[in-house]
This record gives sequence, C-alpha cells and structure tokens, in this order.
Amino acid sequence: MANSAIIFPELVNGITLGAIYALISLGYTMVYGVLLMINFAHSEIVMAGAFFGLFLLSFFLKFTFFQNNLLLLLTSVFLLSMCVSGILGAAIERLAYRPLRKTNRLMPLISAIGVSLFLQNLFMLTLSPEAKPYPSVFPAVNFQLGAVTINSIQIFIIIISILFMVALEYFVNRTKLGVAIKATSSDIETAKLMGINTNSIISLVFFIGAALGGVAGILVGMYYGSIKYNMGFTYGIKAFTAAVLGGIGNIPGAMLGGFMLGILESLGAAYISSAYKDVFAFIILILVLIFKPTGLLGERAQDKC
Amino acid sequence: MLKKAKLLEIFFIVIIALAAYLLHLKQEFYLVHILSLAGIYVLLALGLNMVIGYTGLLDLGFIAFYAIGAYSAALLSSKGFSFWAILPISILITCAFRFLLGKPLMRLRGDYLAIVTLGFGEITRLILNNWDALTNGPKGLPRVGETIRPITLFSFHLNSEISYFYLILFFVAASIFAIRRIERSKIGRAFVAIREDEIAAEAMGINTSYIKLLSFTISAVFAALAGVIYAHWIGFVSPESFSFWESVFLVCMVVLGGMGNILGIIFGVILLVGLPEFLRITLGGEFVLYRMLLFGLLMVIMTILRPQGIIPEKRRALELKD
Amino acid sequence: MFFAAENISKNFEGLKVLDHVSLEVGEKEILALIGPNGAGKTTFFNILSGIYTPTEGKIRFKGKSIAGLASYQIAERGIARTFQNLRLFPQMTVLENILSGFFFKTRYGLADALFKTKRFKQEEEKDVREACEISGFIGLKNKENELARNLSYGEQKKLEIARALALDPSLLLLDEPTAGMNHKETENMIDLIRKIREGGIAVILIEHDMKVVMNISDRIIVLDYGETIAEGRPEEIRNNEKVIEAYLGKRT
Repeated sequence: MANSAIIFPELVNGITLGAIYALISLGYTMVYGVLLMINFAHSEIVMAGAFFGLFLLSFFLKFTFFQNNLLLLLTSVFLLSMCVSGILGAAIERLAYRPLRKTNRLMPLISAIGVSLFLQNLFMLTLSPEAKPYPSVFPAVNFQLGAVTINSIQIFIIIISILFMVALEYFVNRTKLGVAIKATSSDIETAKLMGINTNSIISLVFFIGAALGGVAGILVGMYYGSIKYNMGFTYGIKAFTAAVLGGIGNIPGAMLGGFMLGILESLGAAYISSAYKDVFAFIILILVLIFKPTGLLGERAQDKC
Repeated sequence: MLKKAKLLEIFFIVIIALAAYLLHLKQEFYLVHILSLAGIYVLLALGLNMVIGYTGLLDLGFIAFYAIGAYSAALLSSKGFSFWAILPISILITCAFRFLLGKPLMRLRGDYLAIVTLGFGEITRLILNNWDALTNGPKGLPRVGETIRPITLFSFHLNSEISYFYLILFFVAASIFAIRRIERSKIGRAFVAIREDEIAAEAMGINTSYIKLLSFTISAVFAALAGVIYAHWIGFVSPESFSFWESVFLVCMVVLGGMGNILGIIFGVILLVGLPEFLRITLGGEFVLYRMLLFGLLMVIMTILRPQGIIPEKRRALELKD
Repeated sequence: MFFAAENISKNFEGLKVLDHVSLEVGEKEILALIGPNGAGKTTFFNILSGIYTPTEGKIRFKGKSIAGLASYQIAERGIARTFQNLRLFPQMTVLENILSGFFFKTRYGLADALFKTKRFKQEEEKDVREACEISGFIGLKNKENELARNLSYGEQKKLEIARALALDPSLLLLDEPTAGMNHKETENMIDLIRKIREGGIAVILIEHDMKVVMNISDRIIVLDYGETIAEGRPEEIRNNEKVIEAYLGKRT
C-alpha cells in the first residue's frame, strides 16, 4: 500500500536528485548533440566542480563580510567555480578530443576514459583519498507544505537547478550564440558553410556543459555534506542515463529524463530494494538503449550510411 | 611476413627459458607471483582483444565475465567439484551469460554498446556485493569453513606458486594457439571486416549481428578461463576485484599494446602489470599511487599519437595459388 | 522478369526521397540510373541492397520477393554492390578483401578452423585460388598481399568490384564506378563492365559521366526529385526534353 508518509519524503528526495541529474545530463546531451560523442570525463567535471566549490566556500567563509552576506557568498562561489569548471571542460575538449575528431568514434571515447582516470587520480593524490566534509552554508530548516516535508537545502537545489535550466533554454533559443549552437548541433558541415566558427561553438558547448556540471557538483556536496574523489562516476552514469532516457541531444529531454530518473530511483529504493538502488539506473539505461534508443523526446534519425 | 611468426616464437622461447630459470630460484616467490598475475591478465586481454581489436566493439564490462568465471569456480569448488570439471562448466556458464546478454545488443551503435556493457559490468558487481545467499556479499567466497580445493594433475597437487605459473603459462600458450587459428580463418577475417566497415561487411554476405555475437561469446571463454584459474590460484574471490576500473585497465592494455595484435597485447600487459612492479621495486612504494594517473594520461596520449598501439596490427600475407 | 522493383517509395522524416519508382532489368542487361544530385539514386541502391527498407513497394529477384530481407541475405541471393564513396576494408589485404565475399559459401566452421581439419585446408585453398583468379581478372595481379588502403584510388575502385564479384552475383550494382577517374582509367572501367556483363552478370550503374552512360548502357532510367522522368535506350534519352531540362535546371 502506498503510504503517503513514506512516499512524500522519497518523492522530495527523488525530485532533488533528479534536479541534480538533469543539470549534469545537460552536459552529456549538448556534447552529444554537436559531436555525437559520449563525454565520459563529464562525471569527473562534476567531482572537480564540487572540489572547486569547496575551496571557494572555505576561502570566502574566512571573511566576516561573506559570512554575513549569504547571497553574495553563494553568487561568488557559484560563478567562480562555474568559470573554473567550464574552462576545465573546454580544455579537455581542446587537448584530448579535438585531435581525434577525424578518427573513428571509439577513439574519443577511449581518450575520454583516460581523462576520467587521470582526473580522478589527480584529485585523489593531490587532495585526499578520503571523503571531505562540505561546509554547511545555511541551516537545513524543514518546511511543511501540506503533507509534504521539504528542507531548505532541497528547495535551494531544486530552485538553482531550474533557474539554470531555464537560463540555458533561453540562451539556446533566444540568443545568437544559442542559435549557432543549435545550427552546429543539427548539421556541423552546413553550420561551417554558413560561416559559423564551429570550433568555438564546440568549445562553448563544452564550457557550458562543464559549468553546469560543476554547479551540480557543489549541489551534491551541499546535499550530502561530503564529497570524494570518486563521486563523479555514479552521478555521471545516472545523468547519462537521464540524457538517453529523455532523448540524447535534446535539452528539454535531458531535464525530463533527469527528474524521471531521480523519482524512479528514489521510489525503487524505498519500495523494492535500497541495496540495488544503483541497479535501477543501469537497467533503465540498458532497456532504453535497446528498445527506444531515441529516448522519450528524441527525434534524431538513425545514422545514414 | 615470416618475421612476425619468428618474433613470436623467439618471444615464447625466452619466456619458457625464463620460467625454467625461475624453477631453480624458487625463492623468487614475488617475481613468479607477478608473472602469474601477468599471465591471467594476458588471458583476459586476449579475450577482450577479440572483441575490441578484431571486431571493433568497445566492451567496458568485460571484467564481469571474469567475475562470473571466478565466482562459479569458487561455488563449484566448495561443492566438491575438481578443477578439471569446473573448467568446462564455468566456461559454459560464462559463455551462456555472455550470449544471452549480448544477443539484444548487437544492433547497438559502437558507443552505446560501450555504455551498455559498462552497465552490465556494474550490475554484476552490485549483484555480487548484495546477493549474500549466493555470493556471500562483500566478504567474498569461499565462506568460513569452506575452501577452494587445490588443482590436482595426475595425482600431483599444484600448491606452489611456480606450479601455478606453469599452469597459467600452458593456458596462455593454448589460448594464443587457438586465437591464431581463429584469426586465420574466415571467421577471423569476418571479425576484422566488421571492424573495418560494418555496412560493407553486411553487403558482402556476412551476417554481422551473428558474427559479432560469436566474437562476443568466444571472448568469454578466455574471461572464464582466467576467472577459474584465478579463483583456484588465489583461493579467494570478492567483488572488489571486479570493478569498472579493472575493465578500463584491460582496455588500456589492449589499446596501448596494439589492438588486433597478439604480441602487442602481451606487450601491453607486461607494460601495465610488470613495469609498475619494476618501478615500485626501484623507486619505492610511492610509485604505485601514481600508476593509474599515468595510465590515464597514457591512454589519452596513445589514442592521439599512436592509435594503432605500440605494436600495430599486421595482416598476414597468404600464400598465393595460381 | 529476372529483376523487378515495383513502385518503390522511401520517406525520410516525412521527406519523400523516392516516389513510386519502378525498374526492371533483364539477364545480362546493363541499365544506367542517371539524374541530378539528390535525385534519389543512391537511396534506391540502398533499398535494392537491403540497407534501407522501402516505405512502399515490391522487389522481385529471380521470381522471389526480396524486399525486407537483410543486406547480407540479399548478397547471398546474388545481388552485389559497390559504394559511391569507397567502403573497402582498408586494413585488410587485397586478397582478404576479396575473400570476404566467400564468407557464406565457404563450408567450414569454428571447429574446423581450430583443429585445421582437412576440410578447412581444402576450402581455404580453394578460396584463395578463386580470389586470385578474380584479382587477375580485375587487373590487380601481384597486389594480392598489399593492404587495401595502400592501393591507388583507381585500384581501390577495382578492388571494390573484385570484392563484389566474389559473391558470384547475377546482378551487380555499381555506384559511380568511374567517378574521379582519368580518361584512361575510365576506358578501362568501361571495358571491365562489358567483360563482367559478358560473364553473364546484369549490371545497374549510377553514373554521372554521360559518355560512359551512352557508351555502355542498353537502357537508361532518369530520376529527378525521386521520380522517374524518362526511360529508354541511350539515343532516346539523349534527345528527351525533360531530361535536358532536369540537367540544365530550366524548370518554370
């Protein structure tokens, strides 16, 4: 029997996780859109972003000025860490993927796995092999909305995620650069002929995707209160599942997929088995890829030969 | 053309000579141990190479089938089966899993296939970790009070490191022999044709889904073989030996050594298993920590600068008939 | 009829690429498929060879329906093809490329290969002998053990035909066999196509070089925007106004 006392906390948790997955999956889906490549290292950007956020937070919290001004603190931390993550993402593309653009499709994937391995170990060796606590910026206050209990951190995560997704939608559909991204995504050769500097657009796509992934990393840290060098893998694979579920290459699809996966997973953990929580995402991923590789909203036709 | 065959021969002679030499130095326990471990990795890498190197399918969950081989061996052994009975049974079980899981995947595009195999690999590990009744969870097998029985050969107990090394060496040699036979048949050529151009291969009358599944399934023989030997040799299996990064480690060996080239694969294994051990001895334990960092970097550099690997594939010239 | 495709239509994402195109080929006939770029010729080839399934239409070959069969099944039944942009197996030798066409005919299995049985040796020997015959016929003698990617462009074009011939087809689909060739190579290709036909193989070719088309075709079909706009013998097509319009773009 569906007991609302259990289902609501799980649902709220699912939506919160879903928001994070959605934010990460945008990076996968945008990159796939332009390059038809799975950016395997995106998961490490999430991890790196969480650490960048941690440094910035710890640094800014030394100043009473920032301690007293929460909005300014969060804005500076988010914007600065987004820049650093974004640059890291674009740099990875430039160094590890661009030289492979003309090879077969497996080579960039292998290179991406190499990057992933490298970054994980770099962070483990230079920082810590142990989990690092995340400073809590504001207290987790519980709010009661009818039968639903939701805490301030969950609200913050959901609002931040939705804010960035809306901003991205606006950017892609309403600005000149955004339209150039869309053009590159639908046909890179034609975009080139139309005078679009596709290399810059690709860098931009990696920058945006990584910046959002970095934000997601900070949100994970704030939600769970600790981060670790190997945290990226699980979030990465789940966000990728979300992107595939929604229809890879499709931005609203990635958001839909993220929320759906978050909710399905939380409910699965609550009602079926928490030990197998991570298995659900993999099973969804496999089933979608086998039976509906275009996902829920995807319309990308099969490759022509 | 003769050169490659000769080189390979020389290589084996060196290995065998080395092994004979080691026989006199039984106290070199550690070196024998590392060589045996390298042998296990050679078996795995040879299997993975069939899929990645010959057929061009990127498999990121190969380690799962190594796990199935090792776990089935541990389970059967504690039920009283001997190594020689377990070997065919485990191979059959592993191949059956591989076949059934592979069947729906053969229509998937390359990078999707990679991700789905990754998914299967992780699901397998999670099941091993959580299905206590069968796998004893994170504590691994055998359970307290049970043991994996040692291998007996003609009433001769294999219980020293060196005897396991010889056993592994034998299976490595047998595997190479079998793989070379497959490589030089129409089946091996079909694998490579699919890697080179799947649409063209299909247009040449090759049932590509079937042949891909064949390659996928045969590769599991080597994973199972490695798993069964590993379980008997170490006498213990647990889920942490079968993580995703182990699969990546294997891919790294194949890519680094040279996809599609047996000698390259062996070289890749020696480089990735042997070199770190050597450096650890010469540079101290610190180095081991930087191992994976270095491998990650190497994977990127190799795909960019030398995608064909250190020892690239070389097609064998066939004797012409006029 | 030996080979007949009736009312073939193909839509891609709502776009009609082929609209009720029909064609028939007789045994040992050379049929040219021409038309401006984007007319749907290659799509038509992809349907005939089973790479795409038609949205609508029937295909009959030697009295049996082959529409909806997989590409490899169509190859087994005796329809071979080449591709507009070469699709060789570049890292395989010339001989191995040709041998790939024998795959389904060669009668041995995995066990024969593992134990090098008598059957394996006999079949391999036979295959290599036949592959050498084909390479000799096509003009690639003594290049058998070179990698396909090391051949010149003209040789690669030939190798693709050699590989198709290994299927022992009764219908050969050639997608722009003389594209990118110089005058002499083109002449050689024309001779080769004639020789193939004399060997008892019907040919459908897509070709842009009108000299080649007029020179070797028994019949020509002209496609434009996915529809057949003319069909007939070379001299009839040469003076067809619709065809001239389609090529010169004089539509009002």
